[in-house]
Amino acid sequence: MKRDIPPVFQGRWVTPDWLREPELLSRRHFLERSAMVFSGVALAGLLPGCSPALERQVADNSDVTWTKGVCRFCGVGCGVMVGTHKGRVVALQGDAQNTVNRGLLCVKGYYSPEILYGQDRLLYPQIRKGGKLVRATWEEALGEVADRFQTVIRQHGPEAFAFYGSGQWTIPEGYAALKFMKAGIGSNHLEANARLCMASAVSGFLTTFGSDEPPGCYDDIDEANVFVLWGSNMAEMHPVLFSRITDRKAKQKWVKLVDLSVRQTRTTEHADLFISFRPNTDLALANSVAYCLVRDGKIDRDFLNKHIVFKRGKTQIGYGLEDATVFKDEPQKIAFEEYARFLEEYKPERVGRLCGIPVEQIEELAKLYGDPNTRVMSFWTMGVNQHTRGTWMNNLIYNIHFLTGKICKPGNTALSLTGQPSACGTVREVGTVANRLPADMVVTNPEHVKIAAGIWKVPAEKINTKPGWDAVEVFRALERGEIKAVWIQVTNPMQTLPNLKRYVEACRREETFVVVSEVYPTQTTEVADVVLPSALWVEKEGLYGNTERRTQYWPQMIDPPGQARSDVWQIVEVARRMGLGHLFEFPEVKEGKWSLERALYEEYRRFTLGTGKDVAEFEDLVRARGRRWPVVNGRETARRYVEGEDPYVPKGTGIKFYKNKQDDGRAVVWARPYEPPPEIPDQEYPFWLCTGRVLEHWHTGTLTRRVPELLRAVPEAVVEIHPEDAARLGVHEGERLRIKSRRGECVLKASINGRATPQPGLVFVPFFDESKLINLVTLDAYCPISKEPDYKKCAVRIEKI
Amino acid sequence: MRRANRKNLDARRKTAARRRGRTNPGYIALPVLAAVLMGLVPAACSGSNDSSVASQLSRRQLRRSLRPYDGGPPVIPHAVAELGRHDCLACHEDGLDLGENGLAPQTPHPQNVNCRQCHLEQDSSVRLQTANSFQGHYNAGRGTRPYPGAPPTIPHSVHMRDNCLGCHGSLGGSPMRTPHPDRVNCRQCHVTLAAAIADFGKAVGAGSDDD
Repeated sequence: MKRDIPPVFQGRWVTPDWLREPELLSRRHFLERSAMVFSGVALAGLLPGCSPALERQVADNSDVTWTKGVCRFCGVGCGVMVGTHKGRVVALQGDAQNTVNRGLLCVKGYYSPEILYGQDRLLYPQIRKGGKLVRATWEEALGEVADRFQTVIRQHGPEAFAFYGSGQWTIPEGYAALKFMKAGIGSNHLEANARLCMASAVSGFLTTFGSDEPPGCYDDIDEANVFVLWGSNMAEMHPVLFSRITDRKAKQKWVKLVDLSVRQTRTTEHADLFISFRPNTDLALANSVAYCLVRDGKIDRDFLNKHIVFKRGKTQIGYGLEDATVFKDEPQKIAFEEYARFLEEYKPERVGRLCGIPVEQIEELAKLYGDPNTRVMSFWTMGVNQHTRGTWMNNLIYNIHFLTGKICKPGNTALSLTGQPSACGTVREVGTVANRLPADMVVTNPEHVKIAAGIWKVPAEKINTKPGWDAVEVFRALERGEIKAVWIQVTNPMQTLPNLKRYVEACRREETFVVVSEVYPTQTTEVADVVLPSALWVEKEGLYGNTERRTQYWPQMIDPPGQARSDVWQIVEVARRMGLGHLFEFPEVKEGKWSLERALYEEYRRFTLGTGKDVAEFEDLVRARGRRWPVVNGRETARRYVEGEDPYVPKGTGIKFYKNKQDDGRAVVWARPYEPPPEIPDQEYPFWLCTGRVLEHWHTGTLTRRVPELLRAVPEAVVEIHPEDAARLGVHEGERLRIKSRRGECVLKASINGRATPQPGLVFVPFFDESKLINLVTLDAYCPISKEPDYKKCAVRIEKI
Repeated sequence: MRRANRKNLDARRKTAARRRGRTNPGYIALPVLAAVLMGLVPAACSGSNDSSVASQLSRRQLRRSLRPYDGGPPVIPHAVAELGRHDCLACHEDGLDLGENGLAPQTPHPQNVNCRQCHLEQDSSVRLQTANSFQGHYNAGRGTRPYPGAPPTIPHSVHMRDNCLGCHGSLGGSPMRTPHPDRVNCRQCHVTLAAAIADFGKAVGAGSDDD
């Protein structure tokens, strides 16, 4: 085939036409410019609100302003450079200098500028009148909201009011909501959607370490040589971190990846060992690994003697299926010998049968953990957390690392991966949950309440010391009529709650007053009485905290469209109308020195100082690519609990889990047994249903399904089914199937040997598609300790249509 | 998954535009019309290797139509089904000339092995439920020369574009092919023009100390 590269002739090169002739060049430019002019003008005509200045597409990089920011999506927390031009985001690039992602992004990150520009962006407030949402002014909407909230509180007390927020809340937004509820209203029914994804990780941390959030960090990825993924499809869900792993594997052939999952996924393609255990039997598998370690003496006695206590708790703790479930554990200290006897029940032969896996696989996994030459990093997210024994499962993974002493050392750590961009930074660190205050403090501790009262300048009696309801219970309370009003921000519970029908009905009732702050119409705005249009991502100043304790900052880069305003502004305006405006008056803001967001962050920071959860100085975060707390004297901490790295570790102790004061700075190995899930496949409903996500779509798809490229990549949710099951049922690719449980049904097309293949007897459905509400089918059973629902296991049957 | 008709350049451009979904047809049709009127190009064009102005232009349009903005990853303009991770490299590791069917460009970043983390397959039959008014920044794509014959500056960021020949070699995706592929130390003569690339050092909020 003739190529256009001119021949090199006697050392002289031949100039190609297009380089030689200026007239041709200028004609080409003319063509390009005229194309842009016409397209710009045409486009401006099509879409109202589109600036006529777009008649010229940005042609020169020097026109673009680049600003350092953070990705809007997952808990990896990639650094991005956002390119803006004339009030719009026009480009994005991975921030090459951010050590989290080193310039790499994934599809959601690359296409995130487009999430701002869906045509049906909410531009003005709306109030439901006569069943329909009608446009209103901010005055009318805020007045209505404040009025109704005050009526509910006056007639039924503050505990009739709930606030349901999100791990996508910025730190100032979450802190504003916290102060509004706990210093103002006096209600602890402040929850967030992170209850549905990270609660088990949190209770795992609290019961194991006495403090939330990981001891290790992403630096450990560079040091480990074995990576074990427990029920985590990291290739799709934390892709940039996964790329750091595959990068290690590419450069060092001895690096191993173990995939423990009920499905074969894109992650499995890179795995050296794939173990497909039966649903829920991960509890037994983890205990069996521990058994092998103890049996073979691959344990670090010294570490255990110095840093660990052994405990057991209550068993047969139920599944949270009853309303108003209250659980209190009864921990008991035990000796190592008793723990070793407990493990005798988990011999590989028995566990292999229970899990449906060969004994050799259990032994191999135990060998990888137990080998003194391996540095092992365990990762997990939803498979472990969205589990009726999620807290226990978190404990069991830490057990393995404690037994081998493979924690708090470079490359040896157990890293709980966070799903949302600021479930850590906002929900967990600021404490926007039913029983919490910032920095690991709780409303049930009078000391902590005193500190909060001091910072908030309110009398201590004002702060409600009775923990509120967790997320699922908030919506059950709405159903019972106990809670009468709820404000929902940055989340879509009418698509994400398990056993959905029950909660949608609760919210639709006349008596329930629902306010929703959103950016696009969603399943939740469908049930709202008032809809408030919100600013999205870089349309407001914000801070997020990622999986590895890194707090990161971005400034406001563009204005929100129409009349949309930030969630912080909305909270403050409602507070003012309820007589709580004084909580949000800061002298520095009045003097014009700080933004309101900064003032909120600075006040929140005061809670953290001296606790071991100290967050960085604001100005430092503006400049740096984030800082990992605790940050003391400007120095961040890579690994907590390690002397020399964590400034709170006393000299000479080496490692100290100083936050677990009740156990003298020791962490806990918990003896947690295998217990079956509440609903197991039977004759009538013979399949397991597991739900989850795909790379291209975020949560309920309200942002990503409005991006053409992402929608065209994965247009709809499908049900993954094993080819043997498909053959047996006579199901072919693309055939519509009804997935039905005792609670509801959902119709989806079948996918056989598509992106992923579930194990036989299990089907998998992602929940991003609002036209295929799989949560109508799921079960609202949860871990009684964490109150996190189990979206991964319930029983369904498949019907051909 | 509909495969593009690659025999006809015009049709191929239109398909790419349709996939894009939101490009005004005039955007593509107009330069073609203009080009035809100016007698620069016959109505039916030959393949991708024509070095004429119109062909350069068309390659640039195609290149842009696959990317949300300059520097963004191109979508995959062909069906891939669920190929394993090695299969992308079968064509894209060194690049492949597919004759009439175009070019499988060489990847400019062979060190990244999780292709589908960033590159999306597209189903062009999907109807969009909501329009999206996003407009991406596109680079002018021309480096400057201080005098005729001087090596042009690099008018784009080289982030994730370390393998110059990946785009500028004979099996690359860029409309601009190097006239001297035998010279391999590109950045000895071609420098990035600070004002014309994303000057991240000056980015708002970026610190000079780096952690």
